[in-house]
Amino acid sequence: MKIPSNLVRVYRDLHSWVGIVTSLFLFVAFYAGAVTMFEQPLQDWASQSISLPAPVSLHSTPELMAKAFAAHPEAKKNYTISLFPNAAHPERLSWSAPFGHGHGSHELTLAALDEKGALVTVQPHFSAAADFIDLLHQQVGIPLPHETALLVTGMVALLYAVALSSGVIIFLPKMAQNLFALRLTSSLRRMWLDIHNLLGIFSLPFHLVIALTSVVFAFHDPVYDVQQALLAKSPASINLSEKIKASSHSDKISRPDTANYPESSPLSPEEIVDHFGKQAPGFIVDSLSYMQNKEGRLILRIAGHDPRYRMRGSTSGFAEIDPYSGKIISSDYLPGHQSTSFAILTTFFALHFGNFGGLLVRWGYVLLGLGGAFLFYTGNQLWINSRKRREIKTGKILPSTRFLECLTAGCTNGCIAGISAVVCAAFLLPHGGSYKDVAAIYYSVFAFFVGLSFCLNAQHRNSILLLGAGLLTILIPVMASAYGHKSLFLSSNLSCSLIAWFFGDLLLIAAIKQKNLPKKI
Amino acid sequence: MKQSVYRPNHSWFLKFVAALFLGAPLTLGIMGIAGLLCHSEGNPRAISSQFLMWMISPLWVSILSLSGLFRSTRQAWGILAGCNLLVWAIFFLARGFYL
Repeated sequence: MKIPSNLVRVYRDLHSWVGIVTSLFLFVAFYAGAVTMFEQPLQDWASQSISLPAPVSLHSTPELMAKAFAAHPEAKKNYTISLFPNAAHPERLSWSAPFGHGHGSHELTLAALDEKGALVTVQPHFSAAADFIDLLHQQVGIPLPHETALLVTGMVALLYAVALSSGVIIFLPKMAQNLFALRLTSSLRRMWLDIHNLLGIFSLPFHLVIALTSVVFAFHDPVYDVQQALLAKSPASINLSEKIKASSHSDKISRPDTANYPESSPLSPEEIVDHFGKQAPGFIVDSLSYMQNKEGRLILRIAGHDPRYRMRGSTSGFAEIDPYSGKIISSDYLPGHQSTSFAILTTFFALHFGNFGGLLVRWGYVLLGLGGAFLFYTGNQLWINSRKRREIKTGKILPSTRFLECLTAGCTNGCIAGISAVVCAAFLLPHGGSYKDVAAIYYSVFAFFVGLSFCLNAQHRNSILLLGAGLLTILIPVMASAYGHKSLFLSSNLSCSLIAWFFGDLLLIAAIKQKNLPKKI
Repeated sequence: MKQSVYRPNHSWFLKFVAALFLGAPLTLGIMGIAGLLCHSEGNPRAISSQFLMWMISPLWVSILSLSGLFRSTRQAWGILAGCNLLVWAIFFLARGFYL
């Protein structure tokens, strides 16, 4: 394909610039994002076991609810019934009440009945490790307040999308020759160039999806504010979050029901699940979440999954139910029962979360995520080596090239090591680590690696940093077996261990093989 | 490769900045017009506003990606500013008409 050469040069400059500005943020986002694909197993693994009597059957859940609400009236306002209690989440009933004087923080309480039928409640402490890694992913590794960090994420995502389009423009003219080229031994620059092209062009659809969806996820709230300002018929007197909660649907549809059942009490959870199963066969209900609205009536949201369809949440689809009649009020986010337009929207979300097609796609997303992180690393290496090559001819390597070389090695290895350290520490810290502890550990390890990278000489830098990151990653299964709160031989724990072990080994091999890289730049 | 004379030319950067800063209001303006056409009221739960929001990313990214095609920096700023004026003029006229 013919593209004028001066245009290719413009886009090459643009590509290098947006690449260099965003690559390290993107590395953190992609690496943490790949780990986040297994957020729930990770959290269960790192959290302490909760001791609670065996859950009551779904049939006798109303008895548990009655006893719990009598002892804790605040529970009525916001409670959840879990359909499949398991070892990590043993509760049938849980509720969250506003916590002390905190702003928006909620304390979760789990409830069960002991053998004699007496109420037992526990306030569980979950490890913040998985949560922290998720936020790290959303905030591209920036420790700022969430909303500010999201604006940075949005800009990074925009530049990343531009890097993709400009990358394709540069690659197109020589695509026929270079599509499958992989010259690993001729020179460092060529090696990184070929890996970069190969990875980039073959995971392009994934990257386009992630870039375009991330822009939306990050600019979500400001854009709605603009829409409100531009399009609302009456000036917005209520704020956005209230508007979302006050749900247009329940206004529209549940009012007539209110008139029909003036003094009725809600159906039992068993009846709800029964009714719902008839209306949406094939959808597996995971939980029923009840909330009391201002007039004291209950709003019920069902969360669950359906392996046949894409889902709006990262692991679940939702439906709004009338808790008094069991009828579906809103199926906007109910997999398989959506209107075409909502199904299209859901597809955008599902493509970012990789929650369609079961475990296989999930694993595919992990590999694509790690591949993406490596793509950004190769991009930086390519930039560094191209500059070095040019500078060696003039006889002097500029400090800026050295700076980026140190920063790249430090940030990438620091991110890997930091996340591994967080998981390791979760087994030692009380309650699996609070958010503050976990964040402190990540950022100190990260800062240490970056600092170390600037202190080491070029010859040993990569090997030593890779060795450090690899050892910390291999330490995860060791810590889990020595200090883990749960048996290592649960299948999910075993697979977490094996993944960490395998990935750590890869890093160690990379550290050893550093000396085999081409000498020529 | 580029052993020939390498002349760093930074005008692409200023074009890109133009697309970044003028592309944002332009995208929002187009979103506004589309919103008026489909009678959206900016309620985040409505399907129309969600689609309007999803318009943002492909539009803004396209403007940014095409910024390299402008002949000069001045042309980039000029055309994008002109488009902004046009789009926002249409928006406010249409809004006066609709609302």
